[in-house]
Amino acid sequence: MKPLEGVRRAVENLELPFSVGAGSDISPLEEEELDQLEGIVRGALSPVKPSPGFRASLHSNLDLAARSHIADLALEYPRPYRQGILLGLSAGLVAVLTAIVVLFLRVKPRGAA
Amino acid sequence: MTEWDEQACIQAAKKDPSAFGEIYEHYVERIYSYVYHRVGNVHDAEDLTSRVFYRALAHLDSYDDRGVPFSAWLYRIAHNLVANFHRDRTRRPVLALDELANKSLAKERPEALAEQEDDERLLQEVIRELDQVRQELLVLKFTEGLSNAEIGEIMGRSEGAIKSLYHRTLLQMRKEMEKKGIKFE
Repeated sequence: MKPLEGVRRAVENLELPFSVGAGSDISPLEEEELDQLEGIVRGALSPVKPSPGFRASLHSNLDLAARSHIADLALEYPRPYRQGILLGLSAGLVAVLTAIVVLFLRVKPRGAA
Repeated sequence: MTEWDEQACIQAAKKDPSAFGEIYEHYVERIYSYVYHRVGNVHDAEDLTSRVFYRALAHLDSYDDRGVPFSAWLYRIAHNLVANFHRDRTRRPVLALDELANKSLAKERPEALAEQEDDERLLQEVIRELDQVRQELLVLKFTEGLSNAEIGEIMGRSEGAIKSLYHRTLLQMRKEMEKKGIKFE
């Protein structure tokens, strides 16, 4: 953040009542002018519609994304099964490692004799 | 759409994302219009509008109605994406293709009409020269027709702060328009 950014934001956030802020020294003529300006800006910023082609294609793309989102969820294993698989794999790995160690210890004394 | 319907749609889409289409249809014009006025051309407006809805679909579960209307949540996403867009562009002035097309058309039209179009173009220029916060305020107020309280919700400011910022914005615009010699009667 720039050093003066906080100060600027604080000033922008000041809650000045409409009649006391910058508008306190505004004459009725100027107020009328601002009303006019408001009308002009409103005209310049009138709503814009997206093209029908873009609108329809985005709709169908979102539908596709939503369906693939559902498919992703369906492919995911339910939590208890996932936990079971992990536990099974871990137990298997421990058993294999234990067997290797036992075999290694049994074979070594014979070789030494 | 009533408040009840909207909430029912959101709940339905949370359970079944394929129901998101109804929410999309309800908001697409407003979001597109907002984005268009913030970026100034069709190409980027379409790109950013798409991103807004993809993001909304992906994060719909995180939306929780605790006094914040769904529209404000959606505009907040749009607001963040537009802010990133402008930051990434590093304020490089880009003349939109739409504006170029308008310029070439103006050359072929009668003088009075061209003069009027020139004023309109200068007015758009004045709006684009305002800082991002003020531009956003004007778009939300005039394009979307939101109240100061609703704008405050989206921009993270109080209603009073929005009111005085709006007044200062009009004064700044009047000054800039005078400088550029734009007549408004």
